[in-house]
Amino acid sequence: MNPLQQNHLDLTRREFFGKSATGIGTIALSDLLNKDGLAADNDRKAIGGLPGLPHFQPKAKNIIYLFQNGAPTHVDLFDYKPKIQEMHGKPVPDSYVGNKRFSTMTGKANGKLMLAPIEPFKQRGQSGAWVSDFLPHTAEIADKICFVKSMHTDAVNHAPAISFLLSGGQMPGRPTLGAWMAYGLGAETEELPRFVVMTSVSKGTTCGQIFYDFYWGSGFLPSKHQGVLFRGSRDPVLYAKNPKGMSREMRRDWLDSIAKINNHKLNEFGDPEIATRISQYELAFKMQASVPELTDFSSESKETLDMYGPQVNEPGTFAYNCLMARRLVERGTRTVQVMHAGWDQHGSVTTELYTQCKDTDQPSAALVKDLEQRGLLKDTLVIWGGEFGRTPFLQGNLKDRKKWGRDHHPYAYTIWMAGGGVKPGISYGASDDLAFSAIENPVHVHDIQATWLHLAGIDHERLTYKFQGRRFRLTDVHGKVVTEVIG
Amino acid sequence: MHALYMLNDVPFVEASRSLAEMAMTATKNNDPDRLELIFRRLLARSPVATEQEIIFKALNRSREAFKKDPGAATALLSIGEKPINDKLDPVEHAAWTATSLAVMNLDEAMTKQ
Repeated sequence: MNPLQQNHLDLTRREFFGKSATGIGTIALSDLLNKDGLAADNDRKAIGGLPGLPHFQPKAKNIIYLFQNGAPTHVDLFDYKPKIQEMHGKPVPDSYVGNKRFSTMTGKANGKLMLAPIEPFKQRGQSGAWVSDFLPHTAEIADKICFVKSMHTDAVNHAPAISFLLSGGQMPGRPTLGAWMAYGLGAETEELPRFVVMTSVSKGTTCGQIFYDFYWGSGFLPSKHQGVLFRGSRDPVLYAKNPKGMSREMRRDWLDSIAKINNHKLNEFGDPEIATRISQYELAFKMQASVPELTDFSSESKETLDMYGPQVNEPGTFAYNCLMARRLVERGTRTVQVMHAGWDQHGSVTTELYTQCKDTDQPSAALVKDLEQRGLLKDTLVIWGGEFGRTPFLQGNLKDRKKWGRDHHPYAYTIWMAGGGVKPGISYGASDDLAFSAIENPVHVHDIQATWLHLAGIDHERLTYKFQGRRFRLTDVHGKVVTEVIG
Repeated sequence: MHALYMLNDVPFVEASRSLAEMAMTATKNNDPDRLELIFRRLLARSPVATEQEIIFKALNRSREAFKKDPGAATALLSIGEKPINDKLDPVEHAAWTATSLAVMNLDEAMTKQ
């Protein structure tokens, strides 16, 4: 995007059109830059966002990312390989290991013993997708899901890998998916944030994944595009009530005064962060009214609540967050990032993995079904997955089954997607016979990012932001849309 | 969200009440002098004419609102541990509390420039 244009858009849109000469010039320029000639026709009214976006007709208006922090084991959950079973307890062949880098817990992988999947696999539905008995609810909706079995990444540790998947860079500081979406496409509603984040951890997990706020950061984009983290309690947002004695009308009156004065400052200094402040105060006011309604589940039917499982009424759980995610996209939040930690089974695939699955399987499937029942699934892209996979070989002592685990594995792993224009009932790509490397239609992190943006109607090469003299984008300078997963 | 925190949390409301009290006791009984004190304390400068205009309009509307509902004035003044200064007219005090709270929430009050 033209940096002059970008500079103007950093100010309020009033500024952009107000500055006569350059304003008119850049409007014409934006038309010229738009390769399709006309802005994509879309029947939804977007608030904010960039001119000329979406670049083409989107399939997904919203994204719900069910991020599984810690890295779920693809070997035990999705990537069925009978040969691993046969080779249980035998050393991994050197040909598979090569010079591959693993985490320092493993170091050199030569001679590590193969570990068979802990629970049996079956083929599910009409599609015949392989899903482990660990995930019976996911298994049930296999025909609605697109499994990508050939994911691979460059990072072997959590924070860099998560940052890589969510922002395109292993080092923190870049805008994340939700921030790009907010920046590019704007909002569907002014009553709630464009980008909401909710976190949860399975009880009793020892794996200690942290949720850094750069996982939902706006990087160098105006900070109003950062994710808003809802607290995992009855009050997702603190201090939502006005002080006693101050009515909503009086608060509104003073907010208007504050905004007017801040606007004068904005005109004087041109600092886009002032614009952020103004819009955040506005949003805060609206959220005082919209959040109580959002968190009031009394309008949900018993059938719906039961579908999500027993934790649905417990704030701070994955189940609760999944229902919140549906309610949020219903009310116009563009991106919801539900992050659940505890998957880092270095020594607990025979123990804690069961709790992980129990806490996430039913709500994940319920969310897909719920969206579908409400006619929202076709417009909502649901993504399920973590930052890498886990080693097909054992971490730990073969004799000590209770402490069996798997280490970090970036060379092949599985994520799944549903809705939002994705082809249901398919498995795309494959790893080798030991689930070690992605060999058939490998999908790199940047490729899947390009695909997500494409589903949202965005050309990943054209949504850029100039910073420190360089045009950045979510996919950095890589990424190819995986058209085969698009319905 | 930080906006809600600074607008609604007890320390800020109480501090606003304190600042309002200071403005009412340390200056002559007129709006411009009182606002001057508040601006000097929070922004290290005097208000410009447009700011005065905007704020005085809202201040007067708050006065009217608290006159109509004196209970609301007392409620607002009761926030925080500091005892209410009962020498001050509650309606005035509440209106200036609301004013101080607003100035405290200006971008300039929070940003180091």
